[in-house]
Amino acid sequence: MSLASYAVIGLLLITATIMGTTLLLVGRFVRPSRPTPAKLQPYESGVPDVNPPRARFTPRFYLVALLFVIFDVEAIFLYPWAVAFDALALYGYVQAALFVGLLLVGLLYEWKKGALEWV
Amino acid sequence: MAIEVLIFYLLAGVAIAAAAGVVLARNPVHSAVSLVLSFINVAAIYVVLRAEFLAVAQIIVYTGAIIVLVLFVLMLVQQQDLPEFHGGRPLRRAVGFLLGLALLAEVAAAILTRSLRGAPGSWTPEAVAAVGGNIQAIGRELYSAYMLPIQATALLLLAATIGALFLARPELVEERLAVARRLFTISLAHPRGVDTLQPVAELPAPQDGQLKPAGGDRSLVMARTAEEFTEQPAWGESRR
Repeated sequence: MSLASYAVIGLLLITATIMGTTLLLVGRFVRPSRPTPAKLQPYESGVPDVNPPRARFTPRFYLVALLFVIFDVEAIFLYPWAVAFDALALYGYVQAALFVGLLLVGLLYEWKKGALEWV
Repeated sequence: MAIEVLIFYLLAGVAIAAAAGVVLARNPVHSAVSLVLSFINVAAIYVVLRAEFLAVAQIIVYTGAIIVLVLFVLMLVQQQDLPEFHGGRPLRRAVGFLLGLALLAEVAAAILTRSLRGAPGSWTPEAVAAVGGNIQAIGRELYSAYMLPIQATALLLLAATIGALFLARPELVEERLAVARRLFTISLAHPRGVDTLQPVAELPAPQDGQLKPAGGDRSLVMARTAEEFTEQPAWGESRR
């Protein structure tokens, strides 16, 4: 069990990089390039866009993303506990229960506050 | 051994180059992509160091979740609202330089202590292999000796939850949404009550977020059919 076992992943990365760049480069030199203003439009045969391309999004999305990060970290912390469950016995169980319980308080709080509702 | 050193230098080099790209790129999205590259290279360095769990955690938390947050900020904030990246205010530059210096000093101190006083703790590679691998060792250590840090982490995450809720308070969001609706109600055809169709080409060019209503100070509505045009509330209000 050494670094050699990761050689396959390294090989995959190298192959993917070489293939990707080769294909793009071949395309770059082989394809004809005769641009006209109409061809360069986002929609060649549509109504020109009057909306600003960067529309605003609800901050609600950000709240969901932020909560996702928090519970993502919680899940990461629970992996080692789950793997070492047998060795840790009751003490580890209490520890993890306390850990999850504290975050559960936060979850209940935001539930109560209506942050999980999508109007 | 030599090949590991070689791989490390390759990964570290790409990570540093990508980190420089984060700072130097003018487009914030390019910065974010550079950051992904840097994070992935750091994860690969963890693999070289046989810290597989840390590598996976790095991928899941940083390249998965943190980058999502960064990109969300870019999506939520209008381009012109972003602070000027390379404006070069002297005070800001000095503070940034000092903060970077402080971080460098911290990392240097950590590395120096580690190399002067030897590996902390009793976990040698053999001991880790004996208990059955990386995650086993982390689990045993984390949930026994590091009881207090674990619970402190839980408190920190709890504080982050409440902070997130406070920052994106639903009531405030509603107010902001109402303002945004008023600003961003746009007509593809013609304003309410005006019967002469205005060709699209003659509409004022959008100034990225600063659209002027074409029909004076009346709000404009988006309509696809004639029926929709008469008594349709502004966009978004009809959904509630």
